[in-house]
Amino acid sequence: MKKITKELLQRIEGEATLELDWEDDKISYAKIKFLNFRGIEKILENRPFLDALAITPRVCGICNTSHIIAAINAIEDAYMSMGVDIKLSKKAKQIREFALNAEKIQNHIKWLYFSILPEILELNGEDDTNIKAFEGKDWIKAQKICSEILKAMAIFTGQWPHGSFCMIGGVTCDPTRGDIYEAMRYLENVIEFCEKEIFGVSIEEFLSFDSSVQLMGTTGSLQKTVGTMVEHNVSHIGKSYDRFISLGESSSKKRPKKCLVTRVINADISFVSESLKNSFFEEDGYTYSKSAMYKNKYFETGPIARMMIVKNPLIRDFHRKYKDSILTRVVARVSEVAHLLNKSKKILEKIKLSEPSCISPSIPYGSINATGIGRCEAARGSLLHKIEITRGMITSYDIITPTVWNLGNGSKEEPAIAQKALMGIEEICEADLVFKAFDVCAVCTTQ
Amino acid sequence: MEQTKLYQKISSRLGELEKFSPMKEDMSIAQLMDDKGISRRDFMKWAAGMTAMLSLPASFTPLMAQAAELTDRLPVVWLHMAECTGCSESLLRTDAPGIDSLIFDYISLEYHETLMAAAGWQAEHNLSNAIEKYKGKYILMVEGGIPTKNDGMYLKIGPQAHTGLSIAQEAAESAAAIFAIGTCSSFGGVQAAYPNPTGAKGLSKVTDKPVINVPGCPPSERNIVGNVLHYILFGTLPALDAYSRPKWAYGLRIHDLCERRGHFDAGEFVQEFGDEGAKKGYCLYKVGCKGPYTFNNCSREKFNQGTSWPVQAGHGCIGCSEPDFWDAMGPFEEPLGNRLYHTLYGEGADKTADKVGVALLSATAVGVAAHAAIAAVKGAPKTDES
Repeated sequence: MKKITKELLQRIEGEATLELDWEDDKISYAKIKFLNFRGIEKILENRPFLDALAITPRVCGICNTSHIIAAINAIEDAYMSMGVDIKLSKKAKQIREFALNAEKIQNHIKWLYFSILPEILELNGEDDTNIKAFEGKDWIKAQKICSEILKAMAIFTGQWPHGSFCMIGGVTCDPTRGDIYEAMRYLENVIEFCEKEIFGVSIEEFLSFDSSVQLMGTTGSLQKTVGTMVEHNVSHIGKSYDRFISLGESSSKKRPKKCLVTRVINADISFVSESLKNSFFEEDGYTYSKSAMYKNKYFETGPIARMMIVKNPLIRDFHRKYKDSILTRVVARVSEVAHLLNKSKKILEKIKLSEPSCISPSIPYGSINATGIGRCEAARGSLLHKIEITRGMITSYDIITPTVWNLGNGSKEEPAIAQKALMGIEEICEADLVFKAFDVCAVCTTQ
Repeated sequence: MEQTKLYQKISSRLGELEKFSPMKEDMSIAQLMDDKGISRRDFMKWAAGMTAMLSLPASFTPLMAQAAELTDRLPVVWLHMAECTGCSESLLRTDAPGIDSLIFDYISLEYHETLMAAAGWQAEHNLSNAIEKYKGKYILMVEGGIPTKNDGMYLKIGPQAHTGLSIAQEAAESAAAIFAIGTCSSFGGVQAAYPNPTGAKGLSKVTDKPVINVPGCPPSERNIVGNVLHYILFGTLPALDAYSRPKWAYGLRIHDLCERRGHFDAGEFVQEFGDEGAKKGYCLYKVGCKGPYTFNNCSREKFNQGTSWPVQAGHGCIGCSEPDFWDAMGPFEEPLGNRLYHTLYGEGADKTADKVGVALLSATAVGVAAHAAIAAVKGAPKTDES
């Protein structure tokens, strides 16, 4: 029996429509439609290139720091390709990383509490009053913690969202020791929340875990999520190609890498391409979203990709049992919070305030003729900015967001990542969960 | 005398409002605060702060508290248009659950696409329900610019794929008061920058109804909540400036109340980011601060629960709450006043910022630039010696 249903998805950043084809009570194909478009790439053309630092963050209200970092990386890459030496002090690098970490932490926590946990409670048939938007105790607690980590960030960026704090050669803030203590205080509050509510054990202990059994012995909301998914038999759904990619730079990984099942190899950015197929920019299109590919193949990006690539023992253990299913995806994202908190704390402990914040290269903007690529690992995965500068003006700007990797549309024969994960599912609530596990961000996807 | 009259007027208005039965009968604001561990003292402190922000005399504080307690009589519908969700983030997430958001979010939000519990079809249903049920009584808050090119096809919402344009117009039709939250909704915002591919416009350009603009990218939470409370207190729209911005929030320039203003007056400037001046917290005008041309209260209200604001963190104001942001405020990191303007307004011809009419008296722009120039000639303190 064939039928087509339409599901409207909200409670995400922006809105998406899922059109599902059913055959024999199973999803046989899914079209993911994004119906908003702003044309940010077009707007960037013919402007002084520094404008990218103000305009690109405004692509997205929840990962604006990732965009500003990708943009500054692209500009600095362009400078370097002209042979201009960009000297970033360690302090400047640390501040950029701290801000990015803070943004990821709040994104991950929000996603767990506002997208995943409500679904988990529903599976359990439990009362959801505690997690209800604006009302539930847990909702409010999670909300408060997101503000705490963002306050720590705002000390360096001035405001969140849309803090302007990056400049060629460093950052614009010059924090004092007092600022660092204040940030530390906020960070400690977040750590305390995560240890008590999410992990049920100390961050150190959680980071030492290398098997799923250890995780199941804890008592936090992560354990509850995993337990519920296993109990209700949704732990194996949502598998895709088992191919991962992570292009950005972080303190644990410098170069772009990909991972085929469990084998990690270097990746080369020049093989990344964007397809307009199925989009309104081509005939018979049905979405404003493009699709990103590597060597014409779909790769999954995000915390699961990052964890698989750095060979994190805990995630590798989940992967052995559950492959790239929704369960591994969820555990990878939540456990990344522990890693990020740990790294951020170390940054604040080690930062040397006497180092320069910004070392501006002395070359006039108008003399810049170059192209640059900015890489960044955002909450939902790899973000790329490609900039082409002619005499100080942008001649072309290309933004490839994480959700374009995960939530693009392929064909029935070769579905994209989320499409493949949805195919074969029998229940609409399961499809919803699988889709939400990718964490849709419509505003980034279509810009 | 004036004050007594005003006091009485507000008192009687609140009395009227109190007669309505609460929308959520099982939970009063007092109970809610009790549950969340907010003391009466905290609440009164907050009310005092809000009173001061709206430039009302301190004796009005109890009225402010009473008004806040009444907010659950006021349904709010929040719509998303072409935007980045940053305004919702600023308001509903970053600051929550500060007492201001607590009252605002919990009590009165009838419809909010991103955050509401119901999703999909049911949410769509809720929107038309809210519009129907509270016809003529709800406050409409719109986040995002309205794409108008090609009949608004760049933004379709809901299973019926209505355009954002038609939904915004319909919701505006039966609203008691309309607030355009953020620069996008107020003036079109970043997506309305040249060449404005989707024909994005501010809400006031697509409806005949009066719209109060609360610009900023994002606006601070207090500016949003303050407007709601103002409406409850007076039952009328606040005094507005030429761009329909409430004067109590947008009456002064960033420059007027800037914590680095003393350095401007003393001719002490940051010449480039990372220099000695930057370490000392000098004025950021020469590295592109648009504070002298921007009307907003960021320097007073700050962001992220009063944690910081751009100038405090060493970056100039970028003028995000002015009309035609970003076109009027580019290029980034360069002062506006004395620069030839790369035109987005005319074909090829460069114009100086003031000629283009950048949202401000051109005299100020020239004056500021002149001051900066003179200060430099007179010799700003030789920073590298110190």
